[in-house]
Amino acid sequence: MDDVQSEDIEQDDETSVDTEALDKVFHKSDETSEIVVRKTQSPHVWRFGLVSVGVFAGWAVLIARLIQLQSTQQQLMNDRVTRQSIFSEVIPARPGEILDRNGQVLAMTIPCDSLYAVPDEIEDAWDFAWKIGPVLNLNSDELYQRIVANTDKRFLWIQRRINEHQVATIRGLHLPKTAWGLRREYQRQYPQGSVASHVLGIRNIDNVGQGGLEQSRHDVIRGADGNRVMTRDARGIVMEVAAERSQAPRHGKTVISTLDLLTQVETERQLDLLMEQWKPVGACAIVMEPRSGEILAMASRPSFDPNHLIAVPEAAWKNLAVSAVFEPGSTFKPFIVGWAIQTGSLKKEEMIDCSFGVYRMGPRVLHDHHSYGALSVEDVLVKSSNIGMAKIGEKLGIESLYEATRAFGFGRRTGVELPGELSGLLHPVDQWNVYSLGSIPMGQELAVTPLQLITAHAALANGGRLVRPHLLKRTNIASETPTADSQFVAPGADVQSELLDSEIAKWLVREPMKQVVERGTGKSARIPGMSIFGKTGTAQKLDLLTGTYSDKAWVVSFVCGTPAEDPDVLVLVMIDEPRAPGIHFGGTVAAPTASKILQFAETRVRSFAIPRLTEHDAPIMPSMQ
Amino acid sequence: MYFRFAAGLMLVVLVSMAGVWLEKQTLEMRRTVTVQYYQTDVLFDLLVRLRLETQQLTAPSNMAMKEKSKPRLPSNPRDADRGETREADSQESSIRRLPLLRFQLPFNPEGID
Repeated sequence: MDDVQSEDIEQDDETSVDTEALDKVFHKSDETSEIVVRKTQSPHVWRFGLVSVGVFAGWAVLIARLIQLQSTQQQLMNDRVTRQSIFSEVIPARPGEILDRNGQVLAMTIPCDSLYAVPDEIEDAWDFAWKIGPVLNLNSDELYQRIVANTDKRFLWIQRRINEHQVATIRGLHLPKTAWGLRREYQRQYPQGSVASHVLGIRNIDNVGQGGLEQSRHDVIRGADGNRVMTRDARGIVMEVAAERSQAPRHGKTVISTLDLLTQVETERQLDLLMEQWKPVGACAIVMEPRSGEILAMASRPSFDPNHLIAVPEAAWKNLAVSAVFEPGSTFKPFIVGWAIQTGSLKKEEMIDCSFGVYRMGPRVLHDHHSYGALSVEDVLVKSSNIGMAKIGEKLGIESLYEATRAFGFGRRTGVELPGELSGLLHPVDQWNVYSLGSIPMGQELAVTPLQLITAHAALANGGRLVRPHLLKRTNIASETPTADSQFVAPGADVQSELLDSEIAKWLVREPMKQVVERGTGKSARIPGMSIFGKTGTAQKLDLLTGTYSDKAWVVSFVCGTPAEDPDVLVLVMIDEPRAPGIHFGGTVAAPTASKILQFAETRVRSFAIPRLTEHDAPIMPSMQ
Repeated sequence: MYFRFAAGLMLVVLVSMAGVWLEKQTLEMRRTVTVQYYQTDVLFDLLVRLRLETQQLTAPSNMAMKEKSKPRLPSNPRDADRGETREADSQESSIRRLPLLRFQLPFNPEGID
C-alpha cells in the first residue's frame, strides 16, 4: 500500500509540472487551469489503478492456483505424472521341469516370442496384413478383417509363440515400430514326444496345466510372475529401471516323477505292438514297484503327442489307467481267497467241490469253462474256477466280502497324483444280495480302475501291506536341473495299511499265483529262468442295448510280477475289447505283452535300488479288518 | 577478496563436477549390470534350447527309430550275395531294433527259481 501511495505522490508531482507548463503556454487563469488539471489527471489515475488491480489479481489467481495444485490436487497430479512416466511389465515365470527318476527331461520350457499389433497405430491395415500374413501362414484377408474390426484398440494378438525365423523375417519387414510388438512367453516342450503323455498332461497356451502332473502340480510347476517397473521420458524412451520397485519372478519348481524313461518307452512300444495285433478299442499298462508304490511306467492307448495337439481324437485324452472302470474278472479272486484264509473261513489245504462245472446258486446257475470236481484252494485260483470262488464267497458271507473289497481299496480313489482318477463302482452293502455272493468273488458286480487293481495286487506282493501308489519321487536324488529352481516337489504323505498276514500274502504269490503262470491260465507269460507270478482276467462287457453281458465284447487283463519270492516289480496290462480275430482271454491277449514288459522292467529295477518304505516314511495304519 | 571469492567459486564448481562424474559412473555401472543381466538371460535361453535339443536327440524313442531306419551296408560286398549273411543280418537287425536293451544288466539266475 505504501508503494501505491508513493506512486500517487509522484504522479501528483508530475501532474503539477504539466499544469505549470500549460499555464505558461496558454496563459490561463487559476480556475481555468484547475479544471484542466482535473480533466487531464483523472484518466491517468484510473488507468493506473486498473492495471494495478489487474496485475495484483493475476498474481493472486496464480498463487491461489499454485496453492490449489499443491494442496488439494497434489495426489491427482502425482497420479497423473506416475501414470504417464512410470510403467511396469510382467516378467513371466518359467514353468518348472518334469523329470523321470534318473533326471531325464520329460517336460521343459523354452522362451519364445508372440506377435501383437496396435491397431490404433496402424495407418494402412491392408499393407500390414499383406506383409505379416504370409510370414505367419495366416490368411491376409482374415487378418485385415481382424485389424479393421479392432481399430480402436491398443492391443491385438496376431499370433502367439512364433519361431525365431518368423521373428527375424518380421523384423526385416521394417513395419512402423509403434504398430506392432513382440511379447516374451514360454512354450512347453516334451522332448520325449508322446512318451508318457497321459502322465504328464499338457499346458495350454495360457500356461495352465491340463491333465496329468501338469494339472495336479500346476501350482508349483507354474511359479509366480514378477514385474519390472520402469520410468520413461516424454518420448516414451525408458530412462531407468526401478529395481527397488520391481519384483523378480519366482520360477516354477522341478517335479521328479517315479517314471523310468526306458521302462516307459518299452511299455509303450509293447502296447503299440499289442494295439496293432489285436485292434482293441483301448489298452493300458502300468508298471509298479510294489514295496514303495512307485509307478515306473504308465501308458494308455489311444495316445497323443503333446507337442502336436492338432486333431487329437477325443478318446486319446483319456488315461485309461486311472479313468477306465471295468469288471476285474478273475484278477480279483486272489484277494477273496486271501481274506477268507485271513478270517479263518477257509484253510489253505481245504478242498472245494466245484460241482463239475454247474452250480445253482439261488435262482442263478453258475458255469465253469471246464468241468472240475474237487479242487484245492490253490487250484481254484490256478484254474480260475468260478464255482470254487462262489463257494468261497458263500463261506465268507456278504458282510465279510464287502469288508474285503473295501479293505483292498476298491470303491475309493488310490490317491495317486493324477487328476481325473475314478473311484470305481462298488455298491453299498445293503444293495448286495445272493447274486453278490457268487458275483463278487469272481470279480463281477463291481468295477475297478487298472490302478486300483495293480495297487491291490501290490499289497499281496508286499506281504499283505497296502501302499498308496505315487508318481512323485520321495527323495531328491535326481541330477541337478540347471534350467529350473533347485527345489523339488515332495510327494504327499504315504499311507500303508496291513491287510493280510504276510505269510498268507506270500503263500498266495509264491504258490497259486506262481502256478497260474507255470501251469494255469497265464502260461503264455512264462519266461524260462524267471520266477513269475500272475493272474489272468477276462470279463464280459455290458451290452448297453440289451442290458446284459455281451458275448462279443471283452475286457481282458493280466497282472504279473517277479520274482515270486520277493517281488521287485509288478505289471498290469488291460485291454478293452480286442477286435482282431482270435481267442480273447487275458492269458492269450494280455499275458504275452505283460511278460515282455515285466522282463524289461525287472532288469531296470535291478539297476536302481528303490528304498523300501519304512514306518518313518509312511506310518502303518491299523488294519481295516 | 577477489581471490577468496574465485577460490570458493572454483571449489563449488569442482565439487559439482565431481558429483556429476560420480553420477555418470554410477549410471554407467548400472547400465553394465543391466546388460550383464540381459546377457545372462540370453545365455540361459540358449542353454535351455541346447538342453532341449540334447534331450530330443538322445530320446530313447528317437534313437530306436533312427537305429531302425539306418541302412545296414555289408562290410564286404561279396558277403552281401550270401544268403547266410543276409539271414544273420536280419536276425541281428531284429535284435538291434531296440537299442534300449543295451541298458539291461547281465541276467543273473541266482536266487531265482
